[in-house]
This record gives sequence, C-alpha cells and structure tokens, in this order.
Amino acid sequence: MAPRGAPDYLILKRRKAEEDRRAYEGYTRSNFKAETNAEWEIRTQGVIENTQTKQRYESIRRADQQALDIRRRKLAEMLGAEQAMFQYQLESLAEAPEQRKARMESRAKELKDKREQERLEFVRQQYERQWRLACDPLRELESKAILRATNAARAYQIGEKMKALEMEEEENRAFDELWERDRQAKLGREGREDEARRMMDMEHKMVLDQQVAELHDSRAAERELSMEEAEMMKVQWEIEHQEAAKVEALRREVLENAQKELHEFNKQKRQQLSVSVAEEREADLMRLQAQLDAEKAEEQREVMAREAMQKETRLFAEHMLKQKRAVASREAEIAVAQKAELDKAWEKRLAVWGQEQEAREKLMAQVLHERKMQVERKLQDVKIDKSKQAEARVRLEDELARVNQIEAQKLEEGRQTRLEHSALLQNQIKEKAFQKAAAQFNKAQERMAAERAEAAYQAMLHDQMSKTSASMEKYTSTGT
Amino acid sequence: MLPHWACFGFHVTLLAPPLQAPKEETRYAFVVEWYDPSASLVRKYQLIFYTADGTLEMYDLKNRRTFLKRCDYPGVGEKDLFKGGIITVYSRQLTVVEYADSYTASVFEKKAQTTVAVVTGEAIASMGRVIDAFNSSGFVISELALLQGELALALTGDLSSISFSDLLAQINSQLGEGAVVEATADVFSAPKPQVFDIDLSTLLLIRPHTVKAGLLGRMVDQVMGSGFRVLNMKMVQLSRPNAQEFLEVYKGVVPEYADWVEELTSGKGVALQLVNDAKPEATVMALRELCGAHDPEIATHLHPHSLRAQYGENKTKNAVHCTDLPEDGPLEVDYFFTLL
Repeated sequence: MAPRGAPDYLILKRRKAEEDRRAYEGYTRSNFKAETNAEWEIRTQGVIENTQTKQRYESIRRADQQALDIRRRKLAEMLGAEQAMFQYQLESLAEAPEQRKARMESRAKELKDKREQERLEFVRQQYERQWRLACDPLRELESKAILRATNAARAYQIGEKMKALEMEEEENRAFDELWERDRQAKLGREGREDEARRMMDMEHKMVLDQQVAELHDSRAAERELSMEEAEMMKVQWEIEHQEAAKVEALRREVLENAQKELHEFNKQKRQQLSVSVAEEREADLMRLQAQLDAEKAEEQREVMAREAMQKETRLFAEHMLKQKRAVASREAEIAVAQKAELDKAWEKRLAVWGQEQEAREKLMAQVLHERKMQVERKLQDVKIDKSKQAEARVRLEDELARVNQIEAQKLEEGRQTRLEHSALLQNQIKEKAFQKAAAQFNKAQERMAAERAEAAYQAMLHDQMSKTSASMEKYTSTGT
Repeated sequence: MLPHWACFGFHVTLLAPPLQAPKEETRYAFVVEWYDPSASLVRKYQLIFYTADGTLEMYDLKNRRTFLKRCDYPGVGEKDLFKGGIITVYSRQLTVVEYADSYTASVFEKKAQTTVAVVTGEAIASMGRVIDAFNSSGFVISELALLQGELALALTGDLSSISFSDLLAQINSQLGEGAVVEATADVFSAPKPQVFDIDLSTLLLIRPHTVKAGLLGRMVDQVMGSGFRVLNMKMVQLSRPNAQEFLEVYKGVVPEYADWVEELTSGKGVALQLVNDAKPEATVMALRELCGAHDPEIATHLHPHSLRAQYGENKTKNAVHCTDLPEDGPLEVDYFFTLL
C-alpha cells in the first residue's frame, strides 16, 4: 500500500507537467502546420510545373494543328483553283454550236458525196451492162459460154447423183445383211435360253420333292420322341412324390424331439434364477449397513478438523498484526528517501526539457524564417504569373478575334464556293440536256436523210433488178 | 498477241505454260491473323478462298463460328495469297501466317516460292523494264528496296514452271552481263541508303492496286523517262493509322479521303523519292504535271499521257499519289524514308 503524505506536491507537479505538455502540444501543432504548409508549397510547385508542361504540350499541339489547318487551306485553295482550271479547259474542249453545225454540215456533205459516188458507180456499171447486153456478138459468145458451162455443170450433177445413189444402195445392202445376222443370233440365243430354263425347272422340282419327303420323315420322328418323353416324365413325377412324403415324416420327428429338450432346459433355468435372487438380496443388506457406519465416522473426523483450523487461524491473525506494525515503520523511512530521489530526478528532467525547448525554439525560428522567405518568393512568382497571364489573356483575346474573323471569312468563302458550285452544276446540267437534245435531233436528221437515200437507192435497184430478171428470163427461154 | 512489255524492246519468250482452268469448287484454306486495335489482341481466323468464283469465307478459330459468310471480294485474288502476304478484307489487314491444310500447303508452297534478284550498276536506269519483265513472266514482287546503288527485288512465283535462270539470262542478254543477278534474302538486311536532298525532292507513291496489276515497271520507266531521278525507293505496307496520318492534310479537303486511306492499306505500295534534274526547285509541280488530274476521267481528256490517265481507274484508284503542295515535298519524303 502506497504511503500517505505530500499529495499537494504531486498534484502541483502533475499540473505543471500537464501545462508543459499543453505548451509542447501547441508547439508541435504549430510545427505540424508549418510542415504541412511547406509540403503544400512543394506539391503545388510540382502541380504548377506539370500544368506548365501540359500547357507547353497543348501549345505545341495547337501550333501543329494551326500549321495543318494552314496546309489544308492552301491545299483546298490549290485544288479549287485547279478544279476551276480543269473545268474551264473541259468547257473549252467541248464543241461550240457553230462548230457542231459546221461539223454536221461537213458530215452531211461527206455522206451525200459518198452516196453520189456510189450512184455514179452504179450508173456506170449499169451502162456497161446495158452496153454488154446491147452488143449481139458479145451476147452470142456469152450465151454459148453459159450453155457450155451449164451443160458441164449438169453432167457433173448427174454424175454426182448417180454416185450418191450407188453409195446409198450399197449402204442399204450392208445394213440388211447386218440386220439378218443380228436376227439369227437373237433367235439362237432365245432357243438356248428356253432350253436352259426348262432344265433349271426340272432340277428345282426334284429338289423340292426331296425336301417334302425329308420334312414328312422328320415330323414322324418328332412325334415318337415326344411320346417317349411323356412316359419318362410320368415315372419321374411318381418317384419325386414318394421322396417328398419320406422327407416330411423325418422332419416332423425331429421337431417333436427338439420341443421336449426345450421344456427340460426351461425348467432347470427357472430353479437357478430363484436361488441367485435370494443370494443377491442378502449381499445388498450387508453393503448398506457398512456404508452407514463409514459415514458416521467421517462426520466425527470433520468436526475435529474444523476445531483445529479455528485455532490455527487465530494464531495467524496475531502474527500478521505484529508483522504489519513492523512494515509500517519501515515504509515511512523508505518514503523519505524516495522523496529525495524524486526531487533529484525532477531537477534532472527539467534541465533536459529546457535544452530540448531551446533546440525547438531555434528550429522553429529557422523554419519560420524559411517559410517567410518562401512566402515572399511565392508572392513574387504569383505577381509575375499574374502579369504574364494578363498578357497571355490579351494575346489570346487578340488571337481569338483574329481566328473568329478568319472563320467568318472561311464560312463566307465556303458559302460563295457552294453557290458557285451549284450554279456551275446547274449550268452543266442545262448544257448536258441541250447537248442531249441536239444529239437526238442530229441523229433523227441523219436517220431521216439515210432513210431517204436508202429508199431512192432501193427504188433504183428494184428497177435494175426487174430489168435483170427480165433479161434472165430471156436467157432461160433462150436456153430451153 | 505480243505481251505488253514487248514494246520496251525485250524479246523474252514466255516460259510459263498457259494457266489451266481451275477445278470446280477447289478451295484453299489459310490461317490469317488480325490485330484488333480496340482489344489489343491478335485474332486468328481461317480464310477459305474458292477458286471457282473467287469468293472468300472466314471462320473464327477461337470462338468456333463463322466470321464472314462466303461472299465475293474482288480485292483479293489467288495471287495475293501466300505465306507472309498481307491482304485487306473489309478494312481489316490480315496477315497470312500459314496454310490451314496440307492440300493448300502442297499447292501454294510450289506456287509461292520466293527468290531474290538484284539489279546492279548501269542497269538501274532500266529498272522499270526489269520489273516489268519479272511481272510479265508471272512473278509477284513481294519486297523491293533501293540499296547502295542497287535495286533488290523479292520475287514470288512458281519456280517449277518458270525457269528463273533462263529469264535472268534473257534479261542480261538485253542489258549486259551481270546487270541482274540472283541473290539471297540477306540483301534486304543491308543498310539502307542515307536520305539526302530532301528539300528539293518530292514523293511519288504508287498505289497498291497498280502494283497488284503489275504496272509498277511501266510506271517507273515512264517516270524515269520524263526527266526524274530516283533518289530512294522502297515497298511499303501502310497500316491504317499510318495512312491516316500521312493523308491528314487531305481530311476535310477532298471527299475521297476515307477511300484513299482504305485503298492505301489494301496492299503493298511503292514509295519513290524523286528529283527533277532539269528544274530541281520545281520538282513537285513537275511531278504533279506528270501525274495529271486526280480524277483519271478528267486526266484522260486534259492530260492523256499522264500517269493517272493511263493507269488510273477512278478517283480512288487513281494509280499514284504525289505531293500536291510544294512545301509538303520534304515532309512526305521524310515521313516515308525516315519516320516509317
């Protein structure tokens, strides 16, 4: 048990320690705040650098995109100009209506000249033919030549016809001979097949007769066998019946013997059981008496032991009181010595705390100084950044205004280009429709001119042909 | 009828036998890979090519289901299908990584054998004719690079039906002994020539459809014959982001931008760094003049001898891309020969 005395000293010491503790915690908290601020500064610097890197990257990307846009714009302008130039060149390649008319006229003239040439050539031929027909000696010679050629051709034709007839005759003979040979062969084959079929039928009949006879024999043998089997079964059943009666008699005898033996055994068993029950009852009474004696002796022993214990306890209490008194006097001496030691230790601890406090204050002053420097630097940086941002914003606004202007200009240009394109397309469609109609008209004109020329030509040809056929009829009549 | 390269003065006998008509419903199966940019995964498909009607079918090997039903896709032909080849099907760049069955392997390993030829020395001036001779003999040019004064070509074709040594002998008899020699694929790992004269040069990109059609040689020959000197040359397979980046200046300017991107990624094209010897400062405009209008139909009327008029099909497949803005020449050359 702790000694009583000097509670005020301990309480005061405890309070002082608690105050010191609170002061220490205050310093620690302020240090922690300073550290957190310093960390925040360091981290924020990283974030700022990262943001600056991102901005730099974005600015490079924007510059690339702007360069690409410029290239695209240049390319679009170039391709547009080229397209316009091609359009112009294609249009200049297309035929003008006057050129087309001149070309069609020249073509019509060419066709007309061609027809005229053909007509003149035909007329020349006809005149020549007319002259030939009008020239009697020439006609006579010609007719003789025609007659000779006709005779020769006729003789050749007759010879060819005779040859064909002979060949046909020969072929017919050969085919007749082949047909007859084939017919004879077929007849012989049919006869041989009939004979073979008859022989086969006879063989089948013999085999079937033999099979029917064998079937009859086998059925008779089966009937005899079944009758013999029935006889044997009857004898067998009789023997089995007698055997069963013998077995039943033997079984009944054995059962009677067994019942007798069981009655004897039960009787003996009942006698043994009554003797053993009487013996067990006597033994139980003896064991109960012995147990009651033992319990009585145990109670006497316990009373004696309780008395001895009370006596022992009293002696122990007296001895304890003596010892407590001795211990109290010894503890008072120890408390005095302990107090001296505690004071000494307290002084030592105060000295250590003073040193630590001094070091902490020095560190705090250093940290605060550095922090002040950082904050000043930071403020300067912020001022510089703000001025830079203001400049950048001004530049960005200028750039944005310029981009908006360019975009508006581009949109206007695009609109103008679309309008031009649509006008161009409509012109092309109209031009194409006009060209198509003109082509159809030209084709119709050409077709009608060709039909007219063809009709004139056909008429002339018909006349000449009728003349020719008339003269040919003349030849025919002269020939016959 | 004479082959079209006969007009260049070559008298090379056609060594390849005439192609046999394909059997009914013959199908070839390939394993192809596609890099899915949204999932950052390489996906594997089985691509089936039906020779009877030239149709394609794709099967997703991982999910075990049909990915693309059998359909007609004219952009992909039998010649484009070989191990290592890159094809584009509906905006997806597919790399043929292996043959999916033994039948296809047996047919294509014979058909798509690769050899390397190097055009040396003075024959560089006739490289267009050499390329055209190879194309006309049935070879497909699968790689091309201009090295230190030499042009290396990787040729893919059926070496069992084309006698490569005889073809080389015939070309050398026209251009001089040793003009074109056979080499190994190691030549492509040789150091590339330094890019110089960027400021005065311009870029000509021969589009994939023209390379596929075997017109590369004729176009190179025409370009060189028009007073341009080839400073650098290489075959490139552009990915979609690269093509978009390269053509970004045309985005929003020409309506064919998306189709051009699609076309440039559809196969391998050939990039040339050119300079006009007569007027180096006007190289870009001179090449534009040689290329003609963007629309081959307009070019046919206005510039009938231009590259686009002769080899272009429509506004998208207009044979070539050339630098349009004079200040873009160095940018585009730098992009292809330094950045890529």
